Amino acid sequence: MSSDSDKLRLALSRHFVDSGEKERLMNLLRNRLAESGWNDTLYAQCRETVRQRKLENVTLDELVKESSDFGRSSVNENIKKELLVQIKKYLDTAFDS
Amino acid sequence: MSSLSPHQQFLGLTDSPVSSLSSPSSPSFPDTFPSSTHRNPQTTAYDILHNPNNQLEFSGEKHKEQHSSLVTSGCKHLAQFKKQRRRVLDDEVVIDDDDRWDLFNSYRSLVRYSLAWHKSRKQLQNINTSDRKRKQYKELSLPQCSKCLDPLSRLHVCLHCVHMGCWRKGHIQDHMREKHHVFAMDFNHRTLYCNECGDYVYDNELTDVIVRQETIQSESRRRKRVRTANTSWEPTSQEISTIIKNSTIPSCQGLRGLCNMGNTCFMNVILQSFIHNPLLKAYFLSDQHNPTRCNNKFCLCCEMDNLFAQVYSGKKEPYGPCTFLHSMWMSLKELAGYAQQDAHEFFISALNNLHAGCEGNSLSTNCTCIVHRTFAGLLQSNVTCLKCGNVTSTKDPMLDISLSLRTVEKKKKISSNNKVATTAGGNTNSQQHTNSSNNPASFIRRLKQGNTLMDCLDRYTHPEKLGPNEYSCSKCGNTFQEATKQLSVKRLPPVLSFQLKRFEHGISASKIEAKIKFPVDLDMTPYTTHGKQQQKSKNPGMTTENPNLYTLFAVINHQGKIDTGHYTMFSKHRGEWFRFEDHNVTTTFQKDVLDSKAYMCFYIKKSLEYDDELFE
Repeated sequence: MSSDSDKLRLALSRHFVDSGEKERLMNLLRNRLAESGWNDTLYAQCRETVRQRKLENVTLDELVKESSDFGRSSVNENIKKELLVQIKKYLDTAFDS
Repeated sequence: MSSLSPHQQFLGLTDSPVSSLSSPSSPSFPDTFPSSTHRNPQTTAYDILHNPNNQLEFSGEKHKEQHSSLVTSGCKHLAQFKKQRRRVLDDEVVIDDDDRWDLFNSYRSLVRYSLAWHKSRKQLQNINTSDRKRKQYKELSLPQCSKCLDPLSRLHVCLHCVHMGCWRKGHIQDHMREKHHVFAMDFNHRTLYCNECGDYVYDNELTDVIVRQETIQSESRRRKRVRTANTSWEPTSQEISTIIKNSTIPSCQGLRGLCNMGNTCFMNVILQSFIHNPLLKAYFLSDQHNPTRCNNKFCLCCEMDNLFAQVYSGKKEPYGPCTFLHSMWMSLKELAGYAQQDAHEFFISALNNLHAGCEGNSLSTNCTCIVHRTFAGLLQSNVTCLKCGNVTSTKDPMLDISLSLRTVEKKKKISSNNKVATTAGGNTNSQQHTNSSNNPASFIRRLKQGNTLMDCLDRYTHPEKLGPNEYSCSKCGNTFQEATKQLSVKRLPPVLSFQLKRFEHGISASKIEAKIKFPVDLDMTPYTTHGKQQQKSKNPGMTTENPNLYTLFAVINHQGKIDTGHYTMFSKHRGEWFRFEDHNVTTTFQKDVLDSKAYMCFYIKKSLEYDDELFE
């Protein structure tokens, strides 16, 4: 059975998506990542993986799992900080309303 | 009995595509639109290309072996469904209405819903959205997992029934296994997942006929002015057979190196920027300047037509544009000779010559030749008398914007005098400034020293004090008064070209090597005449969809000294960046493009409007 924190998290997620805030932050993140060249390095990494394993043998899901660690660790610290600040701001306003 | 898929009924949709989704009971619900069901399919490029009656030769010599690959589906399970569907359509098979599940209809409704939903959330975040629209947007229900109600965790929608499941917790996979449903759509990316294959499948037909069409429709803006209604073109069988009999599908490989014929790298980079210019490409590749009908001697448009034909010929070895060079020399004797020229000068001369070669060109500011339709904008100069406030405006046509780098250079001189530690690129103070800081002190600092393209544009459009005796005001009795002059862009061209003035000619010829940061996406609103007025009145009444957004597609670089340097360029081709150095074409990363020291940058409007909006 879901605990109170689970319920809270679900309610927050719903508000986050419904208000359009998720869409906004996703766009912001996309722009920042593109500017920093993250897209390019990750693209190269995925390309290597597919080349080694041959296209027929890789599913998207497997590719995502293999590249996730690399992707997460190669994000610029500034971008992480900026997003965290934005998320915090959102949470403050969400709790007030 | 309804021929609607369960999704269409659930989402309150009919066959009619709605530009703003609303429930069937609302008055804004449209009731007439050409049906998008299979009864009258809108013929797309896919339909013509993959008509089973096409001759084999239609696919071209090289592709004979690959012909079969053109007609396969994303996966064999999809192929099975498509086969069955075709048989139903051709009335070979009769099925009950209960079995009348159509993959195409379901996918279409879901793609439409996803597009509409994402658009609605974007608009909700926009402060300028009207209350009426807000209410409409809120009516769209939140997509969530049918099992755990989570709206995150990579939601997928089942194509066979009304069920949503999240991916990460495995809810969608559970559902598909239990119900033996095969296909689902990723709600955010609109890609198709086949549970039998265990992977996402990419089908040309579905992508073209459904995803692409719906995306285009959802992005088309409603216009206030009435235009002639769009009539779709349905080719007759005669036309189809003519096209098939007389054409082959050429390669869409539009990359070809250009030979350096003796210090002609300045010309090669400009030619490459033309080749990758979407508007010029569309004009010349669609045969709008036909050399067989052109009577001009040494016509540059004919040369351009030839150049495009060469680049898109499918040949891989580099091409030497000798005839182009020859025609340029014949038109402009000053250019003749083997000395290195300035790429920007060549650019302007080439544009003027192209304009001269176009049929129907005119000398007025409303010339409709391809050069002016692509590059021409209008610059407004406002001179304000500081005594009486009278403003005189003049409008000058322009083909590009030349930005001075003088103040950036001055800043560097000052820092080195103070022995401030500089980084390799010489960017010291400016790195601490972000464009988001709006206080006046930092703005002035940025204005004087900022090294981004936007800073250069700020300086370009900043009010400049005219000297004493430079302006005589008619309202102040024709006396000399103190005045300020301010430039702004009155009309933006579809392709915006920037030149960063790195070269100083004169007694001391020198080159400014300062690195100027330029963005991939550029919003020109603050530099337009309208934008400046809005800034003044502090009125944020912006249109929700901004027509002043540009995206970068080509950059020209110069290395070396002013007279003995070398030109190279970067350009975007089919979504990827390439580096062009005469005959060498190599892949490159966007980061390398943005890190380079640009001499010229080319931006294209992200969304193009129709002519009637350009001429106010």
